[in-house]
Amino acid sequence: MRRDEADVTEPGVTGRVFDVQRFSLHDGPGIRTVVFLKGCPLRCAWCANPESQRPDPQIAWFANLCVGCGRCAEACPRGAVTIDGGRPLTDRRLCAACGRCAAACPRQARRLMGCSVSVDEVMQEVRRDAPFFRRSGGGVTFSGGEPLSQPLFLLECLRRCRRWGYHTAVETCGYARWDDLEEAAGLTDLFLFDIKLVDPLRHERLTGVRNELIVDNLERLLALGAAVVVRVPVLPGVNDDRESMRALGEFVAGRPAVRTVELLPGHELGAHKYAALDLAAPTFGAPLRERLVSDAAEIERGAHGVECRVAQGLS
Amino acid sequence: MATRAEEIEGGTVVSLPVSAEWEADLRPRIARLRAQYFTHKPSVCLERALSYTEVFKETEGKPMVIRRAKGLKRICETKTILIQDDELIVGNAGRKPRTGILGPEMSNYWFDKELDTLSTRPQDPYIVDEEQKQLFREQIYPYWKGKTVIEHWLKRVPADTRALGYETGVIDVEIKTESGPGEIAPGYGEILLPKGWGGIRRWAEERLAALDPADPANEEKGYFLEAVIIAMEAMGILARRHADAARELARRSSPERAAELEKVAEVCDWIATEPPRTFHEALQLVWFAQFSLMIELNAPSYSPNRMDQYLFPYYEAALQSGELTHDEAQELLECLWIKFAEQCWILNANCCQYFAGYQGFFNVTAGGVKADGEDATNAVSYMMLQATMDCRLNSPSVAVRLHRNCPEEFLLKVAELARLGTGFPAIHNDEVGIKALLRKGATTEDARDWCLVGCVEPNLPGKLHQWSDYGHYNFGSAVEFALFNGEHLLSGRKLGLETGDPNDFETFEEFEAAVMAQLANELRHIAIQGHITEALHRDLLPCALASSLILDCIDNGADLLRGGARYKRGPGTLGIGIADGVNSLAAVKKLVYDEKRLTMDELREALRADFEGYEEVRDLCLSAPKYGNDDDAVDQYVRHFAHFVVAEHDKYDTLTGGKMMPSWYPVSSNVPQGMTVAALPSGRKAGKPLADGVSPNQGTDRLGPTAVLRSVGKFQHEDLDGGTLLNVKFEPQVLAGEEGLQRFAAYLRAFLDLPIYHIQFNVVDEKTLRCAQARPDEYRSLLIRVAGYSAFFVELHEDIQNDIISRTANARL
Ligand code: SF4
Ligand code: SF4
Repeated sequence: MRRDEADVTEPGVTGRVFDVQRFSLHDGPGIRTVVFLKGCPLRCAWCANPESQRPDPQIAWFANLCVGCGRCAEACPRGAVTIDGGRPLTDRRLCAACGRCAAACPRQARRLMGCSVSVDEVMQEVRRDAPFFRRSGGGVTFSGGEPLSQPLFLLECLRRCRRWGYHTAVETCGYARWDDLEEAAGLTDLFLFDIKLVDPLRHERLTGVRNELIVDNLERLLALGAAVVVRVPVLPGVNDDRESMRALGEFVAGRPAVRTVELLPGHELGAHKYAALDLAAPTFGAPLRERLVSDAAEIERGAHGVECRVAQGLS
Repeated sequence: MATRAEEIEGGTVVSLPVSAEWEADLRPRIARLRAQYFTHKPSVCLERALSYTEVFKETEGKPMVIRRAKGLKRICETKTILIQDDELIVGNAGRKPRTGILGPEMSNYWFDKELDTLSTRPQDPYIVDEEQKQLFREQIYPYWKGKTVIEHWLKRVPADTRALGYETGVIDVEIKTESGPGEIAPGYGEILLPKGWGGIRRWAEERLAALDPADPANEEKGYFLEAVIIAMEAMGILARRHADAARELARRSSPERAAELEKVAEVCDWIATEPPRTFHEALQLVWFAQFSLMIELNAPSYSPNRMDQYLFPYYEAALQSGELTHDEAQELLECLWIKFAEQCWILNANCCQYFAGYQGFFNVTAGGVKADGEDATNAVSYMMLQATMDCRLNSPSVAVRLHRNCPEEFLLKVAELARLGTGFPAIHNDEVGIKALLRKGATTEDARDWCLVGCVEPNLPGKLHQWSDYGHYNFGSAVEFALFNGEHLLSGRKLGLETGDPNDFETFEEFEAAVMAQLANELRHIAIQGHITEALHRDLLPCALASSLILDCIDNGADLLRGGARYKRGPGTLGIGIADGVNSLAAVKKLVYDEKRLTMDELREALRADFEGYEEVRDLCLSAPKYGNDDDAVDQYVRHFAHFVVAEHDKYDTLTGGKMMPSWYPVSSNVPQGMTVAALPSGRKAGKPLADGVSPNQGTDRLGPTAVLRSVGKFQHEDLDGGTLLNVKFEPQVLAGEEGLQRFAAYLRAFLDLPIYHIQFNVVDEKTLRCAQARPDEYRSLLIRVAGYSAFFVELHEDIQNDIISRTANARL
């Protein structure tokens, strides 16, 4: 590892962030602020945050809130928006994601997803909830997208959090350069590490990449002694079958350093975001909660001393 | 959780949400008393009015303080005494439970006018029968014509003040011309429990005997002390009549009930003169005092105050001697809770909008610290919260004083009650409360003994005279007057100051100064009429009973209303629609001055038209940044307002010897006050409710409950030492389970780190979500959170919204 640079701030590092959410309760302990970094190397078929995938900003349009006033079309300098039957249509090949239409929209029906911010700006936002972190044992979670797809920015933010005494969590899909991950490990209190599928081929089919690098990174992190929660988004027809659950159980049992597993019930709450980006939404549905609870118990039985819980979800 | 339809009365949900589990756990006696409570529909009682009328006819020429004490004695001698099945704590202000008792000497023209609509009015109706109507019209009303507080007030108040207040409601100053001042924390722990009525009487007798009647200063003192003695006699008679009635009833009851009634009789007999010896006697004595104070002035907000402090010694002794088990003590306390809930406060139709919900605002305080700063939480503190969880009625108001050294279990108990989403308990930051008391001139030790009165007002048991309802003013009107050079748009009258044509304001600062000048003018008018009200209270409503329960009235030989109390603060004002004012300033700054997207005239035209035909302007206004999102550019104005308003109040002395006191809580007046305010630059439409207390405008707080606290914490709450009120909404998933409870407790601890005075909680329910579906613009802040994901409810697809609604309806905490 490199020498500790906690007190050296690299000026001018910027990152692409698509949301900063305060009072987050499910991504690490306590009351947290989650910083969502934009861009992800995976393309999970079930992704509930489609706006997180591409690194560049995108314009979103929420049909429920739109009144068809046409101000977005007027505001667009590139003629990317046309009003058709009282609804704005965006030609995404013309759109440069400048956000002018969003600023002009009176209903907040258009929103620019992603903007470039400095570490200072992120930290100014984060520090606002410091009293809540302190009292609840919470802190800051960097999520995405894949936060490690912007390593310089991420590391700088983590360094600053360390210095200011905030608990840090990084939520990662694990598909990252080991060097970056290793450096992050020195600055991170908790990893929320996704293992979506154990089988490399199915992993490739459903996420776009094979999982060897991911598994390798997980093992190296565990070997460093990092605190890791393995998170598994569970989707009907993807990994909720007996076979996948057994494989997961074995995967966990074979890695005694894994102490905590969290099953995240899949959901279709992201559908409106797909629509907002003019994308077709996946339809995997949601798993039965009772099933997940018994699967979790099964995993606990198979792996000595592991805690396997089902995250709070809608199912 | 559900609310039962039959428990909604007169526009108010009287019951708190209940569940099957709750019902199963309820003590049988309390379940029966609670059911009995709902069989009484609020009705009118004229017994008091009649007694006072008779006595006043007989005592023409006597000093007012004595006439009034005699009135109190007469009603105690003659009133109907009713003891209900299962009651262990007995007595009512009226002839029945849940009666509104009329105080004809304060105001009664309205009663005459509203007699025929009183039982059908939309807010807080009362049953009144034909016989009562006749009695009132023939025997009560004629005598008081020309003699009431309100009639005097109307004759004295200047025309411009009257226009601003009485006629258009821009400032509302009516309430204290309709009822007595009330709003005290009687010294139960300080005076009544240690001395008993007999002890207070002897104290007054001694003082009286020591007065030299040749000294002219003593004339008034003598009358006052004589009145106290009469009032003490009245209290003795009242208690003994209850003892007699209980014994009488025992003869006709089952052996089991007869034993209970014998016990009640014994309790009442003893406390007729003597200080209480037992927990039961202490509770009964407090109840006699509470409803007798209500009889004396028909005023709100007599606060039973720090019950955990003054009851704990009796509780501890009862457990040690074996007199009671903990469970029996809890049951007794809950019997008292039901009695508290039974007490109505009757008002005219207009006032009811400002003080909706029948209740007399009995506020009980749990927790806090002792005089030496040590944590004061004890077993009774928990029992008080439990009593509200069990009784689930909208009264008494339960308040807690939380401090950094609070026991973890107490904090969790508070969180447990708060997450029911009933608004109880009102949670107060002890440190800020203590600082507020210091502002009132209390010593450090006294300040640590502070309690709540009314809604959120910091007060001091047994030592302070302070009331808050000098008048309500609102920030919306101040903005409106600044924009229209003093014109009140909804009436077309010139009611504000002429602060100039706003087109001539070259900078935003000039505009802001005009708004402040308008505010100052509203406050000035409140002061002008308030002095009149205070003088009338002093001359027409002396209150020997209330005065006997506040130190140093007896020693000084002076009524509360003549400045007899040890500390005097206020009277005070209530500022309404803070967020509307803040958001309006922020919108004008951004749209007119900074970005020049609107001219002043474009904005004015749109507001004059209530945005009809100017939807684009309204959209711009709505999209301007809003208070509640931790945005310093907006939140700075709340600090400006606080600073300005506090300094203005300091300019006005009051008659009882204090200064005018500022507070920012609404009771329910944000709704009626909104009716007089035209459209605002914040995007609010004409006539709509103003914001509630120091809370953000509905649906504009988009960053969640932590950002709200940060925004609200940007001014010094203790400077508004009449109290501030903050309502925060939570989605039920956030609070569910043990984990939710822990999180909630942590949130409360963080609240204590901020300089905010008060917070109370609502939980988003199915109904709210349905409204959000129908009117997304007003509910943009609702957030749905699951792991790794969150979204604004209003953006979700309808089928998913419906799914969430049905889950919320079935949610269990
Ligand atoms: S400006 Fe907004 S509301 Fe108007 S058409 Fe465009 S998206 Fe819809
Ligand atoms: S983001 Fe910019 S380029 Fe894209 S549609 Fe909106 S205004 Fe046009």
